Amino acid sequence: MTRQNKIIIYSGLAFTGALYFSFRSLKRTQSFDDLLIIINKRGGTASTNKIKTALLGQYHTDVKQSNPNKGLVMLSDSKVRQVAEKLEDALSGGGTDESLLSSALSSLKDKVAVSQVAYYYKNAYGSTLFDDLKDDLSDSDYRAIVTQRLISIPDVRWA
Amino acid sequence: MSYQSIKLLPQNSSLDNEWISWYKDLRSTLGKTKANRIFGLQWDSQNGYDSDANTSLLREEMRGFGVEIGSNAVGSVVDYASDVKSYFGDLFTTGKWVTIAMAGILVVSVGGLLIQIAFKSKVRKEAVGIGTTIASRGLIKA
Repeated sequence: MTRQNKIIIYSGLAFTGALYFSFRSLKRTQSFDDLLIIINKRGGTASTNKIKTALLGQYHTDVKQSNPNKGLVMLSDSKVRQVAEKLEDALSGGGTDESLLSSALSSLKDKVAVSQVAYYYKNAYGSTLFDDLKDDLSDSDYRAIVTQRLISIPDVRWA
Repeated sequence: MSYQSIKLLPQNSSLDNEWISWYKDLRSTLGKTKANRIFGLQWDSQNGYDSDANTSLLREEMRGFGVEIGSNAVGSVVDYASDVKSYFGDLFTTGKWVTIAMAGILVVSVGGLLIQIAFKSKVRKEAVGIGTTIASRGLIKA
């Protein structure tokens, strides 16, 4: 076998391997998305209620009160302020900066963190994050940017 | 275990061992992170907190998998060492042995290619030639 053939065979095998891993990753993401859709269709109201409670800034206190003996992972005050300011920047003014909004929401890893930020937001800017998001976004944008994002993060991360 | 079987979701009336068995299927198909999230969503949607499945057996088993069921909140237990391990572990969930075999082939082929290119100047020249031919879409022949 010539060296050129060897190179072609090695490259071919590497390419096949990479293709296989990409396929598997896509398949898993697809299955995850399918399950999200099925669960939401059959009664995802519990999750959407939790999202609403979090966006009203009440969820973290609810969780702490109903689980007094468990430790939660919570955001630092500076991080809470930073994300809240980013959200305010995205929602203030004439239009909505959707990429800034998505980036701010993506930095929140659980609903407790969302709630902490929403609590700060309400106290700092006088309106709830839930109301401001609903006012600024169309129903379909709200579903795509807010619900879809927040439904796929956990309620809480226990310390 | 299959992509179809994980779609048979447990209900509020399901027993604890049915939830556990479904979760195990889920985990071996989707990996830890996605499985934990789907478990939490389904548990919520079926109000698992207020069901016969909310037993100490289920809570203990799930804790062992890193899922803590609290009161009206379900989430993952944060363990950074285990999170790093699970990141790599997630790569080897679906079709474990096929995946390991493919990973082996990938490592051997890429490794073999790199060794040949690194230590043999003739191979290096040929690799550059092939690369040039591909990059120029055949205009420059190796």
